[in-house]
Formats: sequence, structure tokens, C-alpha cells
Amino acid sequence: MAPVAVFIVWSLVVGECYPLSNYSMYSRPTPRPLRVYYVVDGEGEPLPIQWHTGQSPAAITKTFRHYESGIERDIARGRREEIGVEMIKAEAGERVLGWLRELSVARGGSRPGRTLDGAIQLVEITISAPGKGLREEHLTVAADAGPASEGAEGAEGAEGAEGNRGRTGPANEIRTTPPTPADTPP
Amino acid sequence: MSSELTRQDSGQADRSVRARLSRWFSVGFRPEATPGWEWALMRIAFAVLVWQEISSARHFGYPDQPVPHGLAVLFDLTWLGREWVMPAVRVLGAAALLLYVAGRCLPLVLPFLTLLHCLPHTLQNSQGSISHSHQLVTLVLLAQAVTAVWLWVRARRGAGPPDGLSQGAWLVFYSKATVASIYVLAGLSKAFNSKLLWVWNSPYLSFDLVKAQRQEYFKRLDPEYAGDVPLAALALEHAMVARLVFGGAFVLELLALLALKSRAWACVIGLGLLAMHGGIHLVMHLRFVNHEWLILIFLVNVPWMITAAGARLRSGRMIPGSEIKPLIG
Repeated sequence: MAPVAVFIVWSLVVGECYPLSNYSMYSRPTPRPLRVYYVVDGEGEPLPIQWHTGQSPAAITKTFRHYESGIERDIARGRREEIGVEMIKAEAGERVLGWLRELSVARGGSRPGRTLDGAIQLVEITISAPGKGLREEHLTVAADAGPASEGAEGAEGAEGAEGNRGRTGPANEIRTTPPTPADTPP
Repeated sequence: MSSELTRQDSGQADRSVRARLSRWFSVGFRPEATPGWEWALMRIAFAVLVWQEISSARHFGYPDQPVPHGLAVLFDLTWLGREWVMPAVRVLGAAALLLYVAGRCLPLVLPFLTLLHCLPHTLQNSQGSISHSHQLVTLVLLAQAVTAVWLWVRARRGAGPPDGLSQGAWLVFYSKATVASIYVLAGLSKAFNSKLLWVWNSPYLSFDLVKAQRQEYFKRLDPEYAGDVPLAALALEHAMVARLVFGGAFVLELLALLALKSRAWACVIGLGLLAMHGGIHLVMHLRFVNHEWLILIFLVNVPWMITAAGARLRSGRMIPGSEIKPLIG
């Protein structure tokens, strides 16, 4: 049993280092709101992101958190200027969108429509229980106008996507209801 | 006078419980004699699982390793995406697995298979998000590899496997220990990270239930996963019931190492863990297929279960050494 005890203690100390792990998922249930991320197109319609990129919303959420905490760490250590929470999220979100676009290109191949070449946006769902019952809010945190807009539209397209951030409107709708089958594009 | 007698009685009862517990824990938790057929069937089932894992192309095609993990911190693993790698892995993997099933050259074959399984999944986990779906397969391979090399070193020094048991018995024991250990780890992480408040705060897992359903929906926009999550609302509304249900799974995780007591205990703990995974799949749409297969192969041990049940039917009692004895009483 001694090797088993050593393995358990070692894994707890080392944490995430493949193939070791402390399996800490779902280990901190708290009343604090929980956030999860998904991707929509320029019109705000959800995209079947796993089909496009091979990545699930769970992987997207973890990747977003990785970039977000990296920026926060850099600010805390004085490596870069302080910026607001929204800007941190926007920067992390843009990196995630860029990464997803790259993956969709690598995966696209001959499958029509798989490559993400239009505008895409990252939406944050906040799940909380402020009073009785659950509440969900959907908010766009980052937008990427896409390579299609870089030619003809140029800066205008990028500006349009930039302008969507932090505003309410068709591409930045705050929804408090869960998605319904009607949200599913044909 | 009477209170003194009561104190004496309770003292004796304490000692008796302690003695029984100590006796119970002093038996088992060691490798058991493992017949050749049992170990061979486990090797075949495990080889099929490993083949499915290493012959899958999807973990090889990453152009970059933006957040290196494990071995990727030391080496650039993006070469795994080159055209020649996948066919080579298939050929070498198949050959190594055939040797494994035949029980040949295990001190060489097992470290090689461990590396073959570890590298692509390390690259996959170096993409910025961590998946726990494949780790246990690598860990069981690693445990078997270390055990096989250890026994080989002993053999080179002229000593056989300890306790007069076969190589298979030791490999099965440490495979079972690895599977059970990761559940203990998960339980300990829950206890430490929540400052021992995990069970009390578990109704807030309802947030995770909603999150899991949304993630499932936005993956492929499958209408089956759209809409409300009634179980999440129920967990918040009936907090004590939620604590009982989640608390049961938490205790099962912490006690998973009881699977090392005997085959019968391994089977009971294994069936409990499978039920827990079934529940997780039901409410969170999360499948841990590899974990479930490993539990079936090494803990539930279906061939043994059938043999034990057959022997019991024939003789009217359980086969020797397979009885589940209560902890106390």
C-alpha cells in the first residue's frame, strides 16, 4: 500500500501534470456565479463549434480562463498596465476566437462551411442564484470580424466588431432565458 | 457504582470495535492469487481499450502546444502531427499490444505502450484546456510498466515476485490500486478545496448542472439539450436531499481503496462507481467511457463475478476468500 499512498500524495502536490492530476473538477461548489462561454456568428446565432473546430464549449471555457488569468497575473505583477475587467475579458476572448479560427482552418479541409471565415463572437453565460431559483445572463465579451472583412471592408469591419463589445444590440444581446430549440439554425 | 459499570462497558465496547476494525484492516489489501485465465482476459480487454485510444487520429493533429503540460514542458510534441507518425503508431502499437496480450516482454512492451499513449494526450492537454478522459488509461499503463520493470529487476537478482505470487497478480493489484486511487484523489481534492464544506455546499453544484447542459447544447446545437434544467432547480430547492445524494458519492470516492481488500470488495466498489458515473451522465451529460471500462475490467472483473456466482450456485456458498465481511459485527 505504500506506493499507493506515495502516488496519492504526489498527485495532490503536483496537481495537473499529464498523466498526473488531482482531479479537482467540481471540488469548489460555491454560491458565486459560474461562467461558461460559447461562440455565435456575426448575427448572434450560436455556432456548432465542435463541428467547426473540434473543440467543445468546455475546452473553450477553460482556454478563456487560462488567457484571462494570464492577463490578470501580468497586471498583478506589474508587467503591464492595469485595465478594466471588461477589457481583460475582451482581450482573452479575442485570443480564444483567433485560436478557434485557426483550428477551423486546419480542420476545414474540403468540408464546405466548416472554416470560420465570417464574423464570430464569444458569449459569456453567467449562472447564479441571486434569490430563489436560478438565473442566466448571456453577454458578448469579444468579437472578431474575420478575414472576410479585412479586404473590402478593411478597418470598417474590424471597427464594427470592436464596437459590438460592451453594448447591447443584436450582436450583444443580454438574454436571461435558456436557449430553446428555436435557437438552432437550420 | 452503576455509572462506573457503564464506563467499563463502553470502554470494552470501544476496545472491541477497535480490535475488530484492526483485525478487518489487517487482512487483505495485498495482491491475491490470480489464475492465468483471469489475467489473460483482463489483458485482452485492456488491450482493446488501449488500441482504441492510440489508433484514434484526433489527438495527433495539433499544430501548436500553446500551454505545455507534462512532458510537453520539456519537449516539443507537435511533431506528432506529421504525416508518417499516425501510421507508425498504428503498426508499432498493434505489435506491442499483441505482445502484451501474449504476456511476452512486458518490461519492454509496457513502458513503450505507456509512452505511446502518454505523448498524444499530453499534446492534447497542452492546448490550453485539460481533459481528464484519458489520464487513467496512461496511469494504468504506467503502473503496470513500473510493476513489470520492478519484478524484472527482482528476477535479475534471483528473486521471484514477492509473496510467491505470479507477475499477473502484482500487475492486477497495482492496476486496481491506480483505478481506485484516482477516486480517492478526487474525494480528497473536494475535501481540501472546499475546506471540508463540500457536502454542505453541494446544492450549488446545480450551477454546474446548468453549465454542463449549456456546454452540451452549444457543442452541436442539439435541441435535446436546449431548454431548462429542472434537476438543477430541484437541487437548489431541496438542499438536504441534494446533500444526501452528492454526499453519498463523495463518501464512495473516499472509500474507493477498499476495493483492494478482496475481489468481492473490488466488485462492490466498482459497481458503486459505475452507478455514480451513470448518475453523472444522467444529470451532467458527461461520460467517462475509459474510466467505466477500466472499472469494469479491473474492479468489477466480470469473468470472476460469473465464476464466483457459478461456484456459489454449485456449492451453496461463495468461493473461498471472496466473502464480503461487514466492517463491524
